[in-house]
Amino acid sequence: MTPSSSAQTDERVLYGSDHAVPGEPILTATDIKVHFGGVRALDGVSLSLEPGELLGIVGPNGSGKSTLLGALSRLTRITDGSLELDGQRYDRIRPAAVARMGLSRTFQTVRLLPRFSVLENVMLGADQPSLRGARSTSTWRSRGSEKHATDAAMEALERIHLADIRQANPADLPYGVQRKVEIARALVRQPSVLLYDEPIAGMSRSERDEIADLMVELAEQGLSQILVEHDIGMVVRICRRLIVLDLGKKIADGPSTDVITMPEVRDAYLGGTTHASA
Amino acid sequence: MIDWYASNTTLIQNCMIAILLALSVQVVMRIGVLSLAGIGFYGLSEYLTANLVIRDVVPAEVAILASLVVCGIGAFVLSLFLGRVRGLYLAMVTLAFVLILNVVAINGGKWTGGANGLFGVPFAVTTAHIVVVCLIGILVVWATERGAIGRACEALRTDELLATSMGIEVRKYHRANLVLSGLLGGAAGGLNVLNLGAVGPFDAGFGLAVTTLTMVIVGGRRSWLGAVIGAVLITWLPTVLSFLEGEMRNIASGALVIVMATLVPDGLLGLLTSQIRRLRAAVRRPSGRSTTKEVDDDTQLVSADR
Amino acid sequence: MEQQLLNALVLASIYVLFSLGMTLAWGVLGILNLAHGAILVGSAYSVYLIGDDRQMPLGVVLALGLLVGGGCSLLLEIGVFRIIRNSTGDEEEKELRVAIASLGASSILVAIVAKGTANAPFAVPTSFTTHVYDVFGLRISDLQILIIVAGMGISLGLSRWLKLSRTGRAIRAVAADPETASLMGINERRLAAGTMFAAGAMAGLAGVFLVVYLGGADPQSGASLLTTAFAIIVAGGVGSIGGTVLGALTLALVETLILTYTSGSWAPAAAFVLIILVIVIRPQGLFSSSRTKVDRA
Repeated sequence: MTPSSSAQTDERVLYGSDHAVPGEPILTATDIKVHFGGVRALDGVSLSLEPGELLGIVGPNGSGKSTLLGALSRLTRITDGSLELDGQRYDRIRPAAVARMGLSRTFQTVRLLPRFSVLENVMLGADQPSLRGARSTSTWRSRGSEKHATDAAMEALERIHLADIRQANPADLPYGVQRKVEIARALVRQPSVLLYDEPIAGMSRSERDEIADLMVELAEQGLSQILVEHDIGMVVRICRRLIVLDLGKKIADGPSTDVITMPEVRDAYLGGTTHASA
Repeated sequence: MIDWYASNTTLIQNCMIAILLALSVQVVMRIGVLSLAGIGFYGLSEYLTANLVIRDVVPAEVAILASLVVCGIGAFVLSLFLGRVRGLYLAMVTLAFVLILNVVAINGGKWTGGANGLFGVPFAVTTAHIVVVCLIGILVVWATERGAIGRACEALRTDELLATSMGIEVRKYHRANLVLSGLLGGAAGGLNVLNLGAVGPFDAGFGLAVTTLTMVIVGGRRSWLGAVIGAVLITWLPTVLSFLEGEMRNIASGALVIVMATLVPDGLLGLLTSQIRRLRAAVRRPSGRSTTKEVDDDTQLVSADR
Repeated sequence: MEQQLLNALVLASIYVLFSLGMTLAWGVLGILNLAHGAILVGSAYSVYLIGDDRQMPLGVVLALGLLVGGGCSLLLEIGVFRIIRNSTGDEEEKELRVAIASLGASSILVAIVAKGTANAPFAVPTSFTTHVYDVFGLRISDLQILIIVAGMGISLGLSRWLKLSRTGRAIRAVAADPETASLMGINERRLAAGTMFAAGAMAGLAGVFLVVYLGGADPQSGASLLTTAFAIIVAGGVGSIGGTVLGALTLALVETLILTYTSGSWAPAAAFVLIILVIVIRPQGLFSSSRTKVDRA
């Protein structure tokens, strides 16, 4: 069922983890609560991510999707709950260390450094590779070198067909292209888990399809991904499993095609009787 | 040439020391931190080196190295102490640190010579020494501007959250730059006292802090080159403005600081680099590359519920 | 002992007048005006210049100091701080730029005064002579009474005004949430100008009081007052008037005790130590509730 078993082709497995035990999730979040100032942004959400899975998370505005990604990446403090990556508890580990453990993410707003070229922005990701990424290069010396960072960044840019704009200034680029650069930057770290926070906003149709295909391809290569998105059509198309959040709680977790027909999910989006209108 | 050097030796020496001091402020300012701790360690190093050499505890070179070690450790402890403090608060804490050291120096009895300071420190340092140490300082800062470290510093200056998500330990970089700042200040202090032969309690005080800050603001806070430009300019400014009497020069430099901080925050170096960038862009554009954004003809209705 | 307490109270009142302006500017507008000390000295100096050896009544002298101080501060706001506030960049960086620019302004002001006085202490000529009263064995002068009344009275008045008046509420709104305040039609420019004028006016008042009380002032004394004010503001909680009063009382007391019972050369350290302790241990202020605006830490 999960794509990871089909990843063992002639190609080396680019992503995924050395520790992953077949059948065990690569990322587990248990009963995550994020409360601040009386607001319950997340109220006891649990999820698990299988190796090589492309998991979708949807929900109406204010449901806590971005907060969930913040909690998973440790950039948002959690009030309660536990997190586990690769079999290691990380709910008390500092966010930068978690990033180095193999977790990479994109943001809802574009966060590219305006004083750097596209290439340099992606190289930033290559500078601090995840443990896995670090091991995949041959020698310690080449890992730290500028050449390695440049090569890795170029490879990531070529992957999303942006190699020709590597010297461009991000501010001069269309919004959709900027978002693609961000994805390249998250990828170049060779993470074992990649979180996307509404990545396709502002992209043209063809760009969206391109990214969707990329995500599927990455899943086949063993990368575990969580996709938070508004475009439900795209999410259903490429994610086999779907989680729906509403008002900080999980209201559905199952095969995408089943989940979107659930009445609770429809109510959450359209404001049914059980759902207080915003 | 030799004549010019001979008649300006003191100025050249001051300039080199000023470069080290300016670097100590620039090195933290480039990550968005205003810290005057380098000035404090300058003063600390002056007194420490002076004491070690006057009392014949160790030879001059060892004295400077010992002072450097103490400053490095001190800066590290200070950075731990500061923890999460940032912005204006951090600036004022470091200013308080400098001023407290002044008070300690005045009340230090035989260790600091009280309000009179310490005299009779052997002239153990030559211009060549100063130049070499200055170049080493520049080299070290230059090295941290390149490659992965340089990118990390730029990232955490602009966007700490992003830097963290890329695996950059923000606090570690803050600490490292604060230690570097302390070392640069300490080097400048040790050299200065062994060059001038004396140290007083107000050598490293509010005035020096303002002057050093002026250098970095005027020259440019983005890079070692800005610090050098600022230090050279401000050191030679009194000579250039010698037709203006004492207080007028302060008015001139004060006005310069206001203009820079208000209108040209990246200093002269920033002005220069942005002009170069603009020229380059103008040269590139005629080759036909479009810089207009592509029109998105697929507006997504779904994204409207943002 | 009681005499010392009285001295501390007078000192505290002057500190309060001086620090109120700074804490308001910082709390409401995010402006750390490091030229505030120079404005204090500069105001007293201009009164000296304007007076031209004429013996003016105390009221005139105070009014002049108030106007000059307010004017200087207003000038800085319109010519420098406003421009920085309206430029691009993140808030923290702009705050630092404002502080640095104010340092430049401070250099200019201090240089003007130093030039005019040949860097020697100067006095403000006034026809006012102090009368000393004896109250239950305590010697207190009418000047001391005036200073205490001015300092504490203005604090109280300001505090009530901020709570009760429309403009006062507007100021507190801007301090709490500048964006929303502007959406509600609060004229930020006028508010900023008014706040800075008031801040400078109080500094000018404090300056004249100080010079008349001490008999003279040193052109370079602005810098030490700055760190004193900063210690008070930070200890009391930025933007809190009550905190500023408490902070001023505390620091003035500590300094007076040090001056009385020791040689006094350690007295300046009190402010510095207070700054370091407060910022590292409890940056929102010793006397404030944790709800005081503290995001600038």
